[in-house]
Amino acid sequence: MDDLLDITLPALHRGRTRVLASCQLRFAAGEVVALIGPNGAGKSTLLQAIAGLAPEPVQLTRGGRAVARAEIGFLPQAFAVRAALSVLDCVLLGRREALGLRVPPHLIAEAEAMLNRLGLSDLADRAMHDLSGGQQQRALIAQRLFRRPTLLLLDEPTSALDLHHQLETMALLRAHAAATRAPVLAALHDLSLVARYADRVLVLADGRIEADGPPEAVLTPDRLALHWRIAPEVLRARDGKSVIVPHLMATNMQG
Amino acid sequence: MKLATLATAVALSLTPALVHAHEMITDLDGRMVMIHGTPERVALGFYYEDYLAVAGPEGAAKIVSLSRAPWADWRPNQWAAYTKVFPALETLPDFGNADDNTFSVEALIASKPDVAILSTWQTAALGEPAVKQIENAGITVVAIDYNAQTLERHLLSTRILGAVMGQPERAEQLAAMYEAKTADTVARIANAVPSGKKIYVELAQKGPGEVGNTYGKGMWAGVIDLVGGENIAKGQIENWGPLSPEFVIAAQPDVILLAGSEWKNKPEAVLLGFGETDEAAQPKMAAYAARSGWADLPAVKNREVYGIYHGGNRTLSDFVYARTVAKALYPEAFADVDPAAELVEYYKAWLPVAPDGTFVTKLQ
Amino acid sequence: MTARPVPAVVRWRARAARQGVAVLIAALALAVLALFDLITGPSGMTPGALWHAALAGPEGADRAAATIFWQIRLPQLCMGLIVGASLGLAGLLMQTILANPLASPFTLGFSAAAGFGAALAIMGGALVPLPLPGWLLTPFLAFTATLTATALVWLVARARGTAPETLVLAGIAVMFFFQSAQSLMQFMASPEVLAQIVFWLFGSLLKANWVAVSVSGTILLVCLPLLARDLWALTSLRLGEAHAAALGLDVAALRRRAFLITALLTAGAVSFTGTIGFVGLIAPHVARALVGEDHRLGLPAAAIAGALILIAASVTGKMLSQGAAIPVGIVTAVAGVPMLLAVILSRKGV
Repeated sequence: MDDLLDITLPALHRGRTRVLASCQLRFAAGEVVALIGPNGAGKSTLLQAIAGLAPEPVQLTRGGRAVARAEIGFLPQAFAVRAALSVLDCVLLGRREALGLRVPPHLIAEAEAMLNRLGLSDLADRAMHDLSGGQQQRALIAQRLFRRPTLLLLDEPTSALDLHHQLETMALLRAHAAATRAPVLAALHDLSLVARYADRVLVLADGRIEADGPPEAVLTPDRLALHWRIAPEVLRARDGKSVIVPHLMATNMQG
Repeated sequence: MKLATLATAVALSLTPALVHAHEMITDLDGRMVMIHGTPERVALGFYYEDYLAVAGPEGAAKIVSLSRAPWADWRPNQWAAYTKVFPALETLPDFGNADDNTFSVEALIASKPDVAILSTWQTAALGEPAVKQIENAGITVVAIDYNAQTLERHLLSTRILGAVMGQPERAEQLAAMYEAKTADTVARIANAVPSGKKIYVELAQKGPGEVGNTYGKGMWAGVIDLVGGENIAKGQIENWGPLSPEFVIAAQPDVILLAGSEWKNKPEAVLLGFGETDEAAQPKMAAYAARSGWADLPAVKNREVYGIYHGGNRTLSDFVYARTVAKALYPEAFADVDPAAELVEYYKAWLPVAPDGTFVTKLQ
Repeated sequence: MTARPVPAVVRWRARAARQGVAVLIAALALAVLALFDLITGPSGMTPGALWHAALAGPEGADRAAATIFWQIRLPQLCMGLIVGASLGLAGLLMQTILANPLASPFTLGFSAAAGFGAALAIMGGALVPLPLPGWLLTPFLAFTATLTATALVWLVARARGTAPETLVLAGIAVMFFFQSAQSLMQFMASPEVLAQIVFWLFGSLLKANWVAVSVSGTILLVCLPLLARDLWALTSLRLGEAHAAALGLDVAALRRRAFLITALLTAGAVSFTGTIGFVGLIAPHVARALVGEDHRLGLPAAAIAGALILIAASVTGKMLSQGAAIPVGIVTAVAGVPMLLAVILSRKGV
């Protein structure tokens, strides 16, 4: 349970262009890892490859045994759901393989509990296509969490959420990782959120993993200036976590 | 001729021995049919006049249901003439028309006939399972065929009708008469100079503005083949269908046959048959002759344009029309033959109605 | 604030019960209509007479009644049920795998192919060197042509993936190909053959017999367990391709499987009865209105809805024209329009 998760990826290509160099990743149990990088760096590609959805084969092992694709929970970047499925149904689909002609009541109860934790219990019977983008996103996160994956991959899980829910969701992810001992790898844009909630940060730039370490070590002004082309201020919040205040570079007219 | 008649009489006198109460015959689909005595209830699909000719005057009362459209809709005046003599026909149940797929096996079975007399094109359109359904209901299905326009099938169909309806003598007489007339026609042609004339036959139903069907095989094509004419549609049309006007003009037919019937609501058609007059038919035929390009056709220039009754086709009376066409091809050989009179004779001898109307005519 | 909210399990059971009742009512309506279908027909037999014929069995003494009941009415009813159910199922599958509420079993060219096969049989049956009687040749060629269309779309799917757009484009190409081939046949046909082809295209239950019923019925029965294995996978597909794949579903394989089953169901249905339209389009919507997106109830609901529509059309056709029954395909086309309008108007604005 507390074993390390090893991921081995070959170089990733899109067409004939090489998008990412091959890499070796190792996650500790319950670790929350943020994947950051400028636009087009390949974050989504990397996540999809780890999830097994890219043509290149990925090798995941934990404690000596291989991790099957079914054990990975992957939330791709916001794709709207247009079905009339109820939110509860949607969450239940997370454990699709466990469902038969009759759905066991304990599964329904667990799904309900999951919805409660994401603050969606009022919406349990609403149709998915009736929800706002943010509500849909949270419902889908609930579904992936319900799947109890060995590894949770999230691509921009907070992109449509308001501030309150952003914080709530990230807190929930941390709690989930701690409880289930499953590592979480999330691609995030908001660097302050990263600084606050991630145990570890991977920087993806120039076609490879440029940096790997705790937020304070990685989120330095020099690195941010190099890859994001901003001139940030790195401040400290009252609980000691970093806060990144971005500024455009004065000299860079193209921004 | 006299010898033939004598031989026929001898043959006829021997046939009563062949009539059993139970008899196995082969119909024109190749179906082996067992006849159990004379039926009292008949479902009639087609060949109405031939049925009545063979079955005799009692035959009409035995009809319990029929396929109405080919009689009442295609030859309304003929239908009127017969319903005047047999009013019961008017209210008989109609089991639909196999031609446009409105044939209802259920309706046929519901009329509880002993035997169903159908044409081979009807059994073909129905398909084996439907015929089996009818037989399953305890009804004997007998298929006959006059459409092929061959002597052999005409005679076979007639004899089968006779066997089925318990009228073998009448059937034999009719068959003999038809055979004799046909033999006479063929003999006269054999003795005459070959005509080599090209014939074009068209169903004159839609008026000169639209090209009506011609016949490549069977129906009028069979008649033309019999009399040794050259059907310009042969090889061009499978069974029946319209020829392109260009082709007709290029073929330069020597004789044109316009087939007419007593259609209703067809103001430009050549109307022939029961209740139709020659005075009314002439201008209609003239309209056809006035089609663009037709004035130069040999047939029109020589006024070899004939009107013939389409309803007479594929019946026992079609020998009349064969002789009409033959007369057009070999006028000297058939100088003493009057097809119209022969038609009157036929009806008088075999059918309960008189052919009051125009059945064969020539464009003046 | 409301008092203690009702637990999800209870609500779930309540919903399942409601939906189950809805499907049950639909099934009952179907049973009633089926009975109606049995007692209407051109022979005017009374229900009492039919009851006696039913009791007497297929070898009953009154041959006319026995034949009408056992060889004509009952096979027509069974055919209507099987074809309606097959088309309803095929329609739901099509709409799910193409993610398009306007898809139908004929979207990928199956009906055009079947029509071409039938036209070929009707026109040149004698030319085909098969030892089959005419009445069996037409369904056989229609079936074969449909499977050919299936194979063509399948090849494209293998080569270029099973995305809905790809499938639809391939289907349109196949449809146009067979449509033009069919038009060519119609052009070359003589008028009586043309009339027969056109009549076949209308779709009719009149030529139903027990052979047809057993073939179509067998195909339906074979496909049902195959579908049962994919119930939840199909429901997951409603989330969209990205999410379904993220849940571990092999979307391409699922689409291919469902596509094959749809092709089989459609071929089995239309080969014998001709192309009956609208049923495959409307039945899934009715099913969705009854039981929602869950395919566990959705598939049986679609089958029942399809059978309902077809039997209702059959009864209507028989009642409209006592003597000669109107081909059921025409009635479904006419009745399909108000049904579609009803579905559109009942949607809560999506």
